[in-house]
Amino acid sequence: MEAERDETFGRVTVVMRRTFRLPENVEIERGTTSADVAGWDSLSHALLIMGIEEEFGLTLPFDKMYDLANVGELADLIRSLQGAG
Amino acid sequence: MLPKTLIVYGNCQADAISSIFGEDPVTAECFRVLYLRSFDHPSDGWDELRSEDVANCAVLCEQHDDSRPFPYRDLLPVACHTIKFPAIDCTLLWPFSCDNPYNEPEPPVFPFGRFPYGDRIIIDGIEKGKPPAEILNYYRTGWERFGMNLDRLLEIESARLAARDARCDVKIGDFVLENFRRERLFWSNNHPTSVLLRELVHRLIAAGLPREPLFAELDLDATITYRFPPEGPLGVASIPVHPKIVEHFRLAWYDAGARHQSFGGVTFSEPEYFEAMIRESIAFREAKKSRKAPSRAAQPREKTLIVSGDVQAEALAGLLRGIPRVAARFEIVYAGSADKAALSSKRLAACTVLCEQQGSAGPAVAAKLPQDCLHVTFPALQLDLLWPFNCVNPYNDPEPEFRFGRFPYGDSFVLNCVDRDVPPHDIMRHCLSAEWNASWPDLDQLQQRESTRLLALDKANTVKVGSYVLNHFRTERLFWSVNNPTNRLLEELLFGVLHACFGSMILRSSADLGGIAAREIFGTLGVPIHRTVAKHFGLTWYDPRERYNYFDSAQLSYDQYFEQLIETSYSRKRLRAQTAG
Repeated sequence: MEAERDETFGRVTVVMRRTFRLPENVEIERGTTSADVAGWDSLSHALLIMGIEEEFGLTLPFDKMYDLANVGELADLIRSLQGAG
Repeated sequence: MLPKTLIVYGNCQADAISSIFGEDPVTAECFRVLYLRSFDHPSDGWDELRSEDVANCAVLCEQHDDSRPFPYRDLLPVACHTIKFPAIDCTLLWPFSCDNPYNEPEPPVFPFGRFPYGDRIIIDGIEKGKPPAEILNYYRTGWERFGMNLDRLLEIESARLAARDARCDVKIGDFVLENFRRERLFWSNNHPTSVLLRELVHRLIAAGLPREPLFAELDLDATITYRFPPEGPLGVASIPVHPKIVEHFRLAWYDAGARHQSFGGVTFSEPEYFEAMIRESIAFREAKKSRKAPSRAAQPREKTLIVSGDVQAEALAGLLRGIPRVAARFEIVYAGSADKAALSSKRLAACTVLCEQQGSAGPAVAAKLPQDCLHVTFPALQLDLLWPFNCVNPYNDPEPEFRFGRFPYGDSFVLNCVDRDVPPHDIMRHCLSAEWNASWPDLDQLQQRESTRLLALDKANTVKVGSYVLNHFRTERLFWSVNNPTNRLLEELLFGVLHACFGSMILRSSADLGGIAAREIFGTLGVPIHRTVAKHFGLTWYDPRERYNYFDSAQLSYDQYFEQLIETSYSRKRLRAQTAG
């Protein structure tokens, strides 16, 4: 369970680095929020969502995509959708 | 008692909203409108509010941002009405927009840099070291490889706008989604056009600005139309939209051949815009890599702000020199119409900003300006309406003690009478009469002509003052004579020029002339206004007992002014007859 969780989280960070053009030395943790990442604003959040959807082959629900507190919650949401599928 | 304040808090959009309220005569009559920015301006830092202004706040319009709530909330009075409104932005037209990492502020003309809006496709190309032409070609023809699903983007954007609206008293997402295809709502992803700002302002009013009785006369559309440039308060830069996005969303308003205004007043066609952005960004990147500043920073150009025109322009130049933030950054040069040296090629080549009183510099001068020089035009301030008999006085000559003569402003009725040797007491009788002679100018027609003229000036100039004059001449003294403005009107001109030169971030208080005596600048000579004219136009500030400044020290009543004008004119006429004889 933990490994799966880590794998999902790892793939999220890859999408994040690509979307926000983050160098490798910028750490992304479960508690990382938009306020911690340069360039992650409500506008670029749409690109992140689309990148995540493409990476995981799923569609994030509208009622959740703007209510996520941090990267960890995003990874958890993805896992729950994968599990439901 | 201090006037109630209306505080608008938020980003540059909030600044634009506060400018609209501040410029609107009705809102400004009801409130002292203040703006507090929620972000750290790259060159001007943070603003602060005075505690008494917060304590006196009747309405707070707060742009919703969880990370930056209004910082003075604890000081607000209990009765203060807070209206939360959303930031208005949109990813749909520029989905690849990002901060340009190869851009830096260059205040004052480029406080946000030359190309602050980056594009991921282009920035990626730059970082891969591709040549400019290849980057541009890929941007324009490689859409299929960008992997952008615009239909899904529209769904996500709709959800984003709805989520933001849900946290605010005023909603705007519905308007954006219903209208973005039909009308231009954004200049860039976070700069709305006047169409959208107008809608937001109307919704703010409807959401609960206190219903002052005066609000029945509120006409914010007119304020936005006449008090701001045609592109509105946030039209400083218009970013081209990718042709595939235009096609997909069927943007009815988009003109592929249009030129796009950019920061610093430069305009580009669509390819020119991206060519310039790529060129500047690559130059910046190369300079950064070699740890050298870009060439333009290595050879800083002398920053010169030239003000050209008549004595009003000269006064404007003096006022600009008195503003520390402007004077610290520019050498401010006044160029009179006969002063060719001030407009020499060398001086023009170093010019960063040219503030031209309409027609005073001419196209030949404009052609010599550097490409990135900001060219601002403003009108000569004049109002014929209150002095319908104004004319050049043929019986006036310069004298040692009176540089412009004793009565430089003639009165066609009085002077016609002098021409015809009408006895002085008969002339005075007409001057003092409350009746308006049928042969005298029709005041309503005159007002119509003046309105047309002033609004035409607004259309022709960057700085709009005409509509302000029309809206305020009844309630505020704006002129001492037809072409001598009061400090109040000079403040409007100065603020308009500052706004045009330095954008929406300039504070109105920068143009406050409260520290200058009322008649110090242009009030040396006041020309009396006929009582019937004052009554006809309902001049609320008019006082028939007023004493009019007459050059350095004398103060003349209405009667004394005309008695002396008549006496001096007859005296001059007799003298000329004797000399001729």
